[in-house]
Amino acid sequence: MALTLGRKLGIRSMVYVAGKPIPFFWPMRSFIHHNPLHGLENLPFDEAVVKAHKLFHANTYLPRTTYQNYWQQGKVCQQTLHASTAKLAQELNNDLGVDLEQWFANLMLNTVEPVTSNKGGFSAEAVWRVLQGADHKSADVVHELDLPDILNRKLSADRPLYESIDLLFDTGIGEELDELVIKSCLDFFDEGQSVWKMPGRRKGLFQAWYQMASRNRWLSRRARFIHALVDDADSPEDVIDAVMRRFQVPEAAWQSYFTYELSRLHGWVGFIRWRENSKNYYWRVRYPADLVDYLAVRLTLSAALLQERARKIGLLTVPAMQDAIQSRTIELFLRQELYSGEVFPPLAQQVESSIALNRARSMEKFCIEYLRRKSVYEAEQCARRLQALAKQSDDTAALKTLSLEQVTDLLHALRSFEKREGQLWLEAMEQQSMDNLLQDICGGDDKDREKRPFAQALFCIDTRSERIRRHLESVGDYQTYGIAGFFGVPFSFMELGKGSETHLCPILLTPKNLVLEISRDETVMDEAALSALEKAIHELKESIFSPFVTVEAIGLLFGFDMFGKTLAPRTYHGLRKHLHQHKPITYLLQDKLSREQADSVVRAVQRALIENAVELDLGIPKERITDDMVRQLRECALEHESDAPLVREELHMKSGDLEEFVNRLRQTYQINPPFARLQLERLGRIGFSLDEQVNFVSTALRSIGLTTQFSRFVLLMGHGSRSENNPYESALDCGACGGNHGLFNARVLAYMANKPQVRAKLKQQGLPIADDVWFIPAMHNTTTDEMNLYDLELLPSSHLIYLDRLRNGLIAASRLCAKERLLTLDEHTEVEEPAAAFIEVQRNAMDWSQVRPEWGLSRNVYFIIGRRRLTRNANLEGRSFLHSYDYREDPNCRLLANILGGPLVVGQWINMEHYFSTVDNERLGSGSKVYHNVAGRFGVMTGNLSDLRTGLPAQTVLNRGTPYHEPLRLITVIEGPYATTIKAIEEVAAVSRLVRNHWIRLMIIDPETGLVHSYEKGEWTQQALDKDQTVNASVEECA
Amino acid sequence: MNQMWWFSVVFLPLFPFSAVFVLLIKMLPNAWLRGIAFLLWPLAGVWLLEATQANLPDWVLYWALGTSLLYAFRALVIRELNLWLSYIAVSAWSILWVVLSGSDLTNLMLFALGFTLPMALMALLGGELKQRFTAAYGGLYGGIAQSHPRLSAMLVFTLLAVIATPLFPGFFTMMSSIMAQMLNSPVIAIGLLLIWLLWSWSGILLLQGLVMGPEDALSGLTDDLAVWRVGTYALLLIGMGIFGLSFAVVF
Repeated sequence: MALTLGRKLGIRSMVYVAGKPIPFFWPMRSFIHHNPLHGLENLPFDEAVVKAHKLFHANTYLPRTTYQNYWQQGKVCQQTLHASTAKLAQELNNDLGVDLEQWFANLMLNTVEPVTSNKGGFSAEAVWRVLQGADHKSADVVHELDLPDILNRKLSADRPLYESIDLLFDTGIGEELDELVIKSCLDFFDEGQSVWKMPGRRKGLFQAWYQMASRNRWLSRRARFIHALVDDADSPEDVIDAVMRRFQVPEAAWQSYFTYELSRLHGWVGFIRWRENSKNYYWRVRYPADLVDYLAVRLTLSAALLQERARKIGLLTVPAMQDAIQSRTIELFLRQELYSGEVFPPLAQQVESSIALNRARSMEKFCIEYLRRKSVYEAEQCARRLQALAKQSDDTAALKTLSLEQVTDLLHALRSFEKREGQLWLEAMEQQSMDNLLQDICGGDDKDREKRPFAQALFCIDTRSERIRRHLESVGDYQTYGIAGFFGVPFSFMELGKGSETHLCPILLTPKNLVLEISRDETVMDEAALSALEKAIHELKESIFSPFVTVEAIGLLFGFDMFGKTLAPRTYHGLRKHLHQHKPITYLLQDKLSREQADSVVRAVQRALIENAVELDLGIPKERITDDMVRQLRECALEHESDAPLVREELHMKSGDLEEFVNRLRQTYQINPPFARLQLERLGRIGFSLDEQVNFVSTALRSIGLTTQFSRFVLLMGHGSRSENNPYESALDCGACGGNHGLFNARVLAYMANKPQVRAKLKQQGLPIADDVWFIPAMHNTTTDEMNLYDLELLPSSHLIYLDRLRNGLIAASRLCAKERLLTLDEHTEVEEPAAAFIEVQRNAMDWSQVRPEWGLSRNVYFIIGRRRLTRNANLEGRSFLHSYDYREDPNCRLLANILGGPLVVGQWINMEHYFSTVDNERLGSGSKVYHNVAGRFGVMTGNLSDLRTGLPAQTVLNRGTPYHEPLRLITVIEGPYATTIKAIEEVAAVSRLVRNHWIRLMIIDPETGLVHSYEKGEWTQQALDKDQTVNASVEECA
Repeated sequence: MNQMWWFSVVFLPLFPFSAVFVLLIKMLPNAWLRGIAFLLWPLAGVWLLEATQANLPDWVLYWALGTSLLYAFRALVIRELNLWLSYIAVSAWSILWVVLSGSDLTNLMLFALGFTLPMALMALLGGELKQRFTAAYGGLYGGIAQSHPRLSAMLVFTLLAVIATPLFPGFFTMMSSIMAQMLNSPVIAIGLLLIWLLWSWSGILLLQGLVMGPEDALSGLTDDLAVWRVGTYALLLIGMGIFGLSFAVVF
């Protein structure tokens, strides 16, 4: 029986909430850095990582040994670490009889293994006996373990039933289920990679899957079962309800059951969640799917697999499982020990034999012996580690004299400490980084320049810009600024030759305006011969049959390509570039059309369509079609007139024929009033009004504090990357432009800023820009460090004379930057000359075997919002996002709030993505690139079948298996008066939450008082920026 | 005296007498004793057969083949290295009865040695595993390839020798037996091929549990095989390879 609407909505909302902790996964084409724990940001960082560990089975801190290495390299603040351990020792010390602080210090710094590691076997009493040297082997050390309780916890009702069965019977259902679901997802979500498409996709995921599943050979064996389940249901919600009732899962546990189920393939689920939310995404509109569909498929398959594999086992419902826990406790306990990997290794074989024999009495006897031996062994191991720790802390004698209660407390204290240890390391490392930064930061005010700089350049806030900015400033009279790479102009862009829109702005924004790229050349773009050949070969490769015949015929062509790309990538790339057609010079349609212009465009389109229709449908040659005839037909189609006498007369049409033709114009050619309105609406999206343009330019310049002393050249430097054979290429592009190149945003802002009408209005608003100032769009390729200027044909002739100097400066900076960066890519490089380094990094970009063309945003740690003078003397090693901001231009903190709500949030996502990809690259990153295969043209999988790999690949964050990226939370520095800055933070709820929950570390540098305010553990502390200045540190309660 | 060959079914074990050897391996407390048992047990069987000079009835051949198939099949689900080795040993030594039908007793001793030498070496490596991880059981402590590359390499090569891959003596024993039976009794030849396939399959499964896969969190605590021990094991393996090649020349 079909469910009521209310019930369906109930299930739908349960699924929605269950999926919330799983982060979105954006298609790889526009890779978006995101926090893998975004769904848990409502929790404090340390609590969220515990939950994530449970949900994703992932590590959330680095191993102790890695932190110990950082300690040896001086990257950990000793003072903070000692203070934390002392505080914790004080909290936990309950007259233990040992120097707990010293123990903690030794545990962190000199111990490799976890001391209290316990696979559920030993009691404190057993450890105490070992420490006392008592005859523990003969003693009754088998403490009272509540086996049913252990089993109930491990096989809880909210865990998918098949996982429990797998854990007890090693049936591998979960693994097979994942494979089947992945195959179904690959079929359904494919975006053009497959030659044969899945049929019926327009009906949605569940219906399409069911339609195909009913013809599937594997499923046909279980067809009766699946049909019985699905045929009674008229929606995926019905199926979910039916399966959950079949499993008899208590309704209170449904939501967490769904969360477990969804988190098994969190990459695919993240993609479906993102797709569900992207209302205008082409593939989503065409082939709809949501989490309810996905869950229905998953649950149906899991029910079928359980029916097939576990029918004989008989534990097909949650109550049956719970009954078995009570009635077959020993057997199930031994089974879960064996198959969960927690079995005591020396007895593993005996456990297996005991289960195989399945004799209740002997199993019980064996289980007691097993528990005793496991307990003794683990107690001995724990005691050994305690003794080693005691020796390091000069407490060997004291350890022996501890009472049972003291040993219990000691173990409890150590266990608590080990749980919090990662957080202590993290905080101490962050403190060291904060101290390092503050040492390099310059306080005080800007001195007025006597003359304007030769050129000013606005770079993206991206960490990679820090290097190139530093070098550009070092080679000449250049002034640089940091601004979000979309330059504050969000728009949707339709590139020349492409039929779809791309949002060139942070994903937090939805653009209203559309910009079109139009060719300046009159000729239509023809496909170059090589492009056509490439397309043909690609299609041949994709066909199922053609490889059989084409290998011999054209296989050699691929050989040339392979040798060229492998042996001489630079030369080969250069040759190929000549064969490809160059993109024509284009301009961007970015001025808004007036109402009259838009009407005129619509009219022109309608007229052209009518002319074609008359010619094609009525067979009338063009020379017989007059303007008046077209006007009459148009008026009729738009229902402004009821008759077209001229047409009837000239073309000898009867009234009925004319009416039929007009109807065809309305329906087939869409010449009707509603569609005309829609066209007008669409045209209204194109471009920006003058006021909008003025506002964008003004906001961009004021937000970075560039309001006076404009140079002759103001470079708007977008950035992007180019590399070969790299599905992650877009991860190296500009995040502020939605994972795309930033050039078009630069071109758009430059056009606006150079427009005389805009300048006139800016002058009225108190932002005068001299007539000789010219904004030039430019592009920084972060893989090669090249910087190219664009739209130079628009440059006034008076500026041409200075162009060479400008170009030379850019080239010098590029070479110096390449040299600095090459050392990070290859520490053994013998390249010494900047020019040679420049060539080497270009080779990297063209080498198709290069898994690491650049480090990207790896090692990011700081986000500095303030004037450039703060960091002018610091070498931040490409680790800092730099957003220019002059608090003096922003008395009410409106601009600061914009920076916090946009760029800072994006920076935090980037930082967290790097953090979690480093601490557990397999689960929260995407593993090694070497095994990646593109899936459906929107993601990558490891091997031929896996979850969609989220996060960053090992090659981006790890260097030879050890972290290259130092995983720290984003250390954010804001330059501004304390009170107003706090107010701005409070105004931006998302940022305020991030600060309070410690997802970012915040410092405010108050230039008026010279104090640095830091937020730590719910409190603001302050210190003097200038170390010579003495300030009594005070603590203010957080507002 | 002629009926004394019956005693050989314990030492060149045939089901159900094979249980004696399997039990013995389970009971022996250390790797050296297990190594010696693997080395001497089948030789005792061959010696007994030599002593009795018996003419074996044809059905023994099928009994042996059945035993070998049974143990090869059961080895598929075994994750404990010593038990797996004892099953493979029973399976391999049963084949010696088949070999016997196409060869003389002098050669049988060499064939037996060809099978047992890698097994003895594997038993010692099992001891190395147990010493480090408290058990030689697949799937418990993650893949050791990264944390213990030398031990892993020795395990892989020795296991390849045990499952009779080319160059090692077992390979030539299996080849000559299959070739010998191909014309006379194709059913037995196919049976031998199947057994061989099962050995490889179970061997790879065992390696997957022991060597491959993500390493355990604590595998950073590496205590890999000392270089001199690797050298010794490697020399023994090379010796076996040469021994195997000499089979190819002789037979």
